[in-house]
Amino acid sequence: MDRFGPKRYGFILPAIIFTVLFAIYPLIYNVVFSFQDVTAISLIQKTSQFIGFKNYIDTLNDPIFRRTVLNTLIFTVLSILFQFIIGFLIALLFNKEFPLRDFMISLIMLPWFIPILVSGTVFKLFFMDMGLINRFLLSLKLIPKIVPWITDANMAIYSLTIANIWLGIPFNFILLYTGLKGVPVELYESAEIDGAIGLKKTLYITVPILKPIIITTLLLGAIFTIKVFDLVWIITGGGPGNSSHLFSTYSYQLAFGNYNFGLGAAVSVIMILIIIVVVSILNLIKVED
Amino acid sequence: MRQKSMWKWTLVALIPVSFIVFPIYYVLVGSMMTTSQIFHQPPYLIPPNPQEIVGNYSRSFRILGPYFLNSIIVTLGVMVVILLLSPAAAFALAKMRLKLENIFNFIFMLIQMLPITATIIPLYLFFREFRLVNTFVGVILGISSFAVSFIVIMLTSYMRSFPVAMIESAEIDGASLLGIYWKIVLPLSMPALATASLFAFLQGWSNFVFPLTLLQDDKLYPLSIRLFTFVSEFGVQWNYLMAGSFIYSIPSIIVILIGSKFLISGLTAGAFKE
Repeated sequence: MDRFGPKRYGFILPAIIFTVLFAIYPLIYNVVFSFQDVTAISLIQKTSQFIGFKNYIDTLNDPIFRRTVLNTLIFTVLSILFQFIIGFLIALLFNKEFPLRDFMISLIMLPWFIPILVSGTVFKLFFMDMGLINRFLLSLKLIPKIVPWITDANMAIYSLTIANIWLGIPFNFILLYTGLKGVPVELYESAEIDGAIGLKKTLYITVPILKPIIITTLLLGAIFTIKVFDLVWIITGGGPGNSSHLFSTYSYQLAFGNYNFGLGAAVSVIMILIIIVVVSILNLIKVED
Repeated sequence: MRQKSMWKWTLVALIPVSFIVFPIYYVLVGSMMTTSQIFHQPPYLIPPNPQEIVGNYSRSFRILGPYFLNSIIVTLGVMVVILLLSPAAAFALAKMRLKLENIFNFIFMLIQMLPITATIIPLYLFFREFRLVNTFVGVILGISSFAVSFIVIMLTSYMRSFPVAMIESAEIDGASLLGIYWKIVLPLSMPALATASLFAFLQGWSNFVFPLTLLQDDKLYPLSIRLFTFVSEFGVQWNYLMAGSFIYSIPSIIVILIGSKFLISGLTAGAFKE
């Protein structure tokens, strides 16, 4: 291909220019804005000034931000843990041949591709005080009175986590399912001769072989989960009383709810830094293998 | 005998599958009830009089009607941008051994890791300057700013597997670069391009945050944002909301049920790329 010379770059440049213009350039400016006093008023008066680390200092002293850090931690760790376990169990189940398997796999994929507005809305209907879950549990007499799933400041983040676990199962399932299909059947057969059954077989044969895929799944799961925005915005909007924000929704709230774009940018820069750290650590583990 | 024992696993698999499908099933059920039936105690899991579906769907069709076109424009726009930019870039990355290849790869990979909030604040402020706020062009560019690189990565891993011999023999025959792309690379990539189109469709159709941020005029709302404003506007008319939500989901459900094989192969190819 080399003889075509610089003409070859004509194929990649449009996509690169596009991505630099609409993603990289804004990304850099996001950092610039985080050091500026950019608000609705300063934009109109064109008085946005550099104010050093003030946005960052304000953010770190902000009790809602501290709450947000804790929320993001709870949300991410619990989501990844349960999505992975449930996805893995379903993948093990689907590793057998049975009728209608492919159709059921398509059904499992639904949560991933259904518009997030729809899944968010229906989970809101489930979690409301008079929503489906409370009425269902009340009618079975499993709870004495309604549980404030999304109206209690301490519970909302856990309810959001439940919804997000549902949302993440297809992704974990399909990666692990594809990985399992690559495990040679002979390995299981020889293990069976040695007397390994059930859980033992899974733990000592499947998990070690799948290790690279497991790490990839956890890595991508972490990236996806830290990024979640829509689900929270649709179900609670970060409420009640700013108690269920993640980095993404809090940054959005500061910028587009309070019109303090500089502060919002600072929160999202902190978020990006955390993503970089998490991804690097997981990548190191991956490379060491 | 053997057949019978295998159906047993189908029944076992039905347990997790029902839990996963239930919320979507409930949207359908909700769209066949009145609001007071939706909030009935004990709750209905099967609609008591499903004929409510007629009233609910015709009402929400009337409300949503004008917004369908908005969703279609945004979706088509996103598909055009992605299919114009991504396959060519993937061809270059997969086969051309460019000097800056590593940098290009890094840029596309980086975008995959970014949260939407990493760029949306500056993007909104720039679009405001260039009068792209409140336009479909702005929304299409915004959605594509993330989607283009995802599709590049997906297509690159597919195109890497092409036999080099075919391209080389065309080169020897004196074909131009554009000719090779058009007559060899694109036809060979058809399955991957189909997958890419499905993804582009789902991105454009489902995206929430860009229209939420960039559109203020409610006449321009796509279905996602129109439905988002439904609750506050109509108080507690959950039946119309459920009917509208189900209508809005139908294209995605069709795409998944028909194309899940393509989608899965595209996704796993992208994920396991080293």
